[in-house]
Amino acid sequence: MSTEQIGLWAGFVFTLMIFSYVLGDNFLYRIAVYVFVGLTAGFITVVTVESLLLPWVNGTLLAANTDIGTRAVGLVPFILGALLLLKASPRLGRLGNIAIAFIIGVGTAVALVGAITGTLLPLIATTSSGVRVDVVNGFLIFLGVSSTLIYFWYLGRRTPIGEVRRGLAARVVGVVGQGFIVITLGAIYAGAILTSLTIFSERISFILARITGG
Amino acid sequence: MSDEFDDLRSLFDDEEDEEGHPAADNLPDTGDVSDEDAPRLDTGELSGRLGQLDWQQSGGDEADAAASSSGLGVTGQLDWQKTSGHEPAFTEDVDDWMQEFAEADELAVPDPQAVWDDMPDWLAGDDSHDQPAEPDVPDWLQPDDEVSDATHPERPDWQEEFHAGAETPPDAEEWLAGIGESAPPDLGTALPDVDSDDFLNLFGTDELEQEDEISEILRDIGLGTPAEPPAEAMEEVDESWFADEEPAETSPELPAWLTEIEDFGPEDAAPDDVALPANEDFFSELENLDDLRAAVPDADEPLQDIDSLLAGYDTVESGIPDTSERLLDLNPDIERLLADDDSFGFAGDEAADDLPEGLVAELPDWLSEMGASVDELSAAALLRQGQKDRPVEELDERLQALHDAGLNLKPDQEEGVSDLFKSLLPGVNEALPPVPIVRAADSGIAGDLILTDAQRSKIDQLEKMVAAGRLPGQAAQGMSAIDRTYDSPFMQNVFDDAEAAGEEEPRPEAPAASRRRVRRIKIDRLLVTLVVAAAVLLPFFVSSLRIGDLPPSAFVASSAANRAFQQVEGLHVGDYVLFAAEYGPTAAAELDSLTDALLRHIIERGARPVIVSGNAVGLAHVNNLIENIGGEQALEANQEYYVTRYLAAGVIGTRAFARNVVNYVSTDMNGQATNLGVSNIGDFALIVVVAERAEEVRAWAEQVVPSASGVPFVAAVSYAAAPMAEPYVLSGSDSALPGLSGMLVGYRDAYTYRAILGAAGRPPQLLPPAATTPPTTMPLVEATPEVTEPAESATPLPPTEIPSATPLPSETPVLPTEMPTLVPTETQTPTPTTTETPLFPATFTPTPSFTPEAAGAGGLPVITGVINTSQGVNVRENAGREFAVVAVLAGRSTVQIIGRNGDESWYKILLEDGTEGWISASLVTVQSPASPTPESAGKRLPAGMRLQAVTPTPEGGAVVPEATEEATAEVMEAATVAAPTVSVGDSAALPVTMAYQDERWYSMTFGIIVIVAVITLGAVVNILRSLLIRRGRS
Repeated sequence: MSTEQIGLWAGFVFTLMIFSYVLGDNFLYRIAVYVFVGLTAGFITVVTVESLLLPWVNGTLLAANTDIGTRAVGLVPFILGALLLLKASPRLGRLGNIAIAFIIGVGTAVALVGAITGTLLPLIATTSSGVRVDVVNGFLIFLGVSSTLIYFWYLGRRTPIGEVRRGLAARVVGVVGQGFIVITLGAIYAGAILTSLTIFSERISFILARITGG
Repeated sequence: MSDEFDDLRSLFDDEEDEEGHPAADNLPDTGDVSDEDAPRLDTGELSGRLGQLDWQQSGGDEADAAASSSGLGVTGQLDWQKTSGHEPAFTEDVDDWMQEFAEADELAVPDPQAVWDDMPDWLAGDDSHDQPAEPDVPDWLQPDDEVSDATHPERPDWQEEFHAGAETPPDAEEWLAGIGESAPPDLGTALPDVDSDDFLNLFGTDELEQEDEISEILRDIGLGTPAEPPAEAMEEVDESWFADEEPAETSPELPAWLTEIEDFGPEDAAPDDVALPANEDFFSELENLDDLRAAVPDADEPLQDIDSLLAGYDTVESGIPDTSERLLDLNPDIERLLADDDSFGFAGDEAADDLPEGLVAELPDWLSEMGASVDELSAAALLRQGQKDRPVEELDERLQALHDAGLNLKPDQEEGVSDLFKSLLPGVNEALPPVPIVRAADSGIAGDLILTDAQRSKIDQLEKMVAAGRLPGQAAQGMSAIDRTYDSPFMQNVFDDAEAAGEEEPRPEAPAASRRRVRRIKIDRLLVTLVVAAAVLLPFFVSSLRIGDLPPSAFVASSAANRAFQQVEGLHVGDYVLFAAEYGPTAAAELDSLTDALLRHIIERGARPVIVSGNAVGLAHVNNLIENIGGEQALEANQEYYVTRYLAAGVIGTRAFARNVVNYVSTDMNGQATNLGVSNIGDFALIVVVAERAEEVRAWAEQVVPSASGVPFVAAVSYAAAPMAEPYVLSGSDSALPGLSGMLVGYRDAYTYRAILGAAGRPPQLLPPAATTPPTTMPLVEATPEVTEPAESATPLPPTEIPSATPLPSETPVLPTEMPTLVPTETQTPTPTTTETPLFPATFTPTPSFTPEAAGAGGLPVITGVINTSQGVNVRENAGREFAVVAVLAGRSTVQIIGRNGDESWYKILLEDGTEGWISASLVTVQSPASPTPESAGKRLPAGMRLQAVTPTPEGGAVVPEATEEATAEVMEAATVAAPTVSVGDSAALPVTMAYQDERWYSMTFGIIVIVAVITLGAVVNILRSLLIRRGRS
């Protein structure tokens, strides 16, 4: 039996073990999950070392004919990583916040810039251009975007009794935006069902192919 | 106001009368309560089943402390009673100096001198505790000389100051200050209903800032009050309550919190189980001693002096076994209870020492301080300390006798002695109602403690909830309430959901008895699962359940999927395609088909995919996938494809890749050099992202697309990610905007994509520039002027050349030229000059004895198609719905295709009876032609090199198909020869079929129908159940 055949039959067995969850949480299901998680963790570790750490070290710290600046830069990730390890210590754990702050700060900045240039501006342009191209679709797009944004508008005026209420127009438009959100969530839910069904049918076909030799 | 408070007032009056003290002017008007009207003490109610008499051991001040901490003191006394150090229940001036406290502003300590003046004589003028008989203090309450004068080393400072200050009035100031500084914090907890907050704040007690929390804790364990008095009520207390002389029940200004005293009756007694009720002990023991009654002369008559009663103890014959050991044993029970029950929160240092180190360290400061304070200052602590110092043997003989007699009490000796006690202290019982107490000897939690009925019931409830055994050898009956809750279907769903999410469920630790909980198989869930599984599984076997149509064999022209296909189709040989496989094994079942189709198409076009991924496992998975695409002759890594780097750090890694492509693609996943000729993201001809979540699509659209202006962007996503990825597709609809150029969704698009790739009518393939092909004898002829083809395919290709290095079959199937975009449309405008593109050489002659599987005449392949719907379809006499129906084909039947119209929206078919007709192309799935010859099978050209197979023509001229009826002439006129080309070599190397391809689609279709039915049914059932429940309630 070739390696490929072994892999296929292993997949067949593990698929059945996962399906055993229909009868509740059981040993077979747990074994399959543990094997999957363990292999995934191990593989990611290996890939991280080979694809990230070693190339980085070879390109900076151990690179030949490189300046001290490059080597210093090569040390930065390891210093930050060491600071993260200090989170395990109650006394020195605060030092790990430096690395966390660095990660969060950079991540937020990257996400913010990307959201503006990759989502907001194209969406605004599409919305405006959509009105020009197709009046009906453009109006729907504009209505959906604007009403959804207004729905998440949390500013309001405080009434004498202390209640904070938005204006009537904002509330009415917000209801429309809420409707768009409901439709979107419904579509996502339907998509999730279809995805699950697709995976399920593929697994069944896989099992049948194993059984029938197809 | 409660009756108890009335009784308390009357008690004061009685005491005054009996003791002969002049009535204090500031005493509240108690009305016309005479001695006869005063309620008599019901000694039966006071009788308790005490196992120990700690106050007796303490004696003197310790006894007072015990009284202040006892249940009676808790229930019937106010703060001043607890802090006076003497028995205050029988003092007359207490309201006076207590009012001083009430009038004090902002926790100020009242004027000591004024307070001193208002203090009762027996307290203020008590310059010597050794005086045997104060006029207003009963003899039996006179402290023992030795004890009172002795300075206990463990006595708190405030108590020591009190003893010292009793000598001279000025020292009383220190004592009062001591009260304000070191008031025992447990007093507030012991008086939950009398709003301990304000009373203790009145004394300037800072240690009780967390009083609310303490009260809450005590309330949780059944020792507190269920309600908190409003702040307004306490303001009334400060200003008016102490001056109010009206009975509480008649006073409209009565603060609300005071009315709660009623609730603080016998059933809701304070923690008298912790601190033993000394007064009750005394009273009950007096009444329940048969021996005592026998010893007391004239027991049937009311005693005028309690000393006489106590004197009678001298004559009691002992004979009671020594119970000192028992006394000593009982105290640790209290400590253990305090220490073990975390909810008490005031475990002392000893208890804290027994706690785990981590738990002690995590205790809040206020709790630790409180524990220390209690241990040092509380009356209960003093009581325990005094017990250690004062064993029974050192007590006075009378007290020893009384103690021994108390130990000999029988539980059922409550009746019959009430008269005796009523006569002793008339009205006391009503004023200070005793708490009906029971022995909790059978309790598994608080054994040997005296518990009230309410406490007993709460303990029973707790035991029932946790299914704890009432006795060590007694098992719990059935499942506990907690277990039953966990076992309910609702909680079971919660647990299952949490477990499915991989979370650790913080279930409370249940006792061993609850381990008997049996995991039940959820029938409803199992039933739904089986129904859905059957719905998905049956279409694989039962053809009648294959409902619905297969996905179309072509994309709609204006669809995003068609744009995606066209982007790939427009690749040129040698183009680099950035291929991001952003999915893991969990989504492989859905997205593998899309990935496979895209990679095949890219390779077929001669482009080279450069694969990256932010999912390490996904990267390896796609690597295996592309290795299998080549079949036995695997594609050459780092030449025909590149699997480069794992993009860690999510969005940051994606952006870093976009900014520094070279660094990421210079080596492959194995560390080998790729020698890619790209320097930035713009060098790629196409960016393809296969993602299981919309977040990955968004990350690429946000971080990469803006950096790669002008580079088309195609996304292939799962069904679940499609709705959120759709806006990026829309943004790409405008060519001026960056965004996706196309999108493929789920198995449906994968099916169509693979159908296009595997269809016989594949669009003309690009030839590699380096390929040298011999001139073909079959020229390409414009089929019809009406045919509008894209420039790429419409342009007549030069005579195709067959690479000399590749042996070609002598007879290669000839396939018609196909529009790059198959646009099935039902609104085709019919034209009288319907053109037909021949599918077969002119020599092909359909025969009535048509067999789909058989090869055509002369070994030519037979192009067949399968009706992709289960319903019957019409066969019309010409290409158009306005033409007459000549036949009806059954669903799923196979037909032979002999021609098509210009835009390939209609196929001309040949029926088995020789009848020819036209059928809509959208209803037919074109099957692959006959397998290539063995010589061509398995041959594979380098990436981008595609073989162009041409139909050998015996005559070597143009192939003119045989036309039929009206179309025949038109075809003969207009159509000469299309460009029948087909990829042979790569098609053999890149098979596009997969097992159970159609069955999967049918199973999905039937499964979604069943799921919708189940959801609908469940919703209806729930609605009906809700209606029935509402109706039942109404």
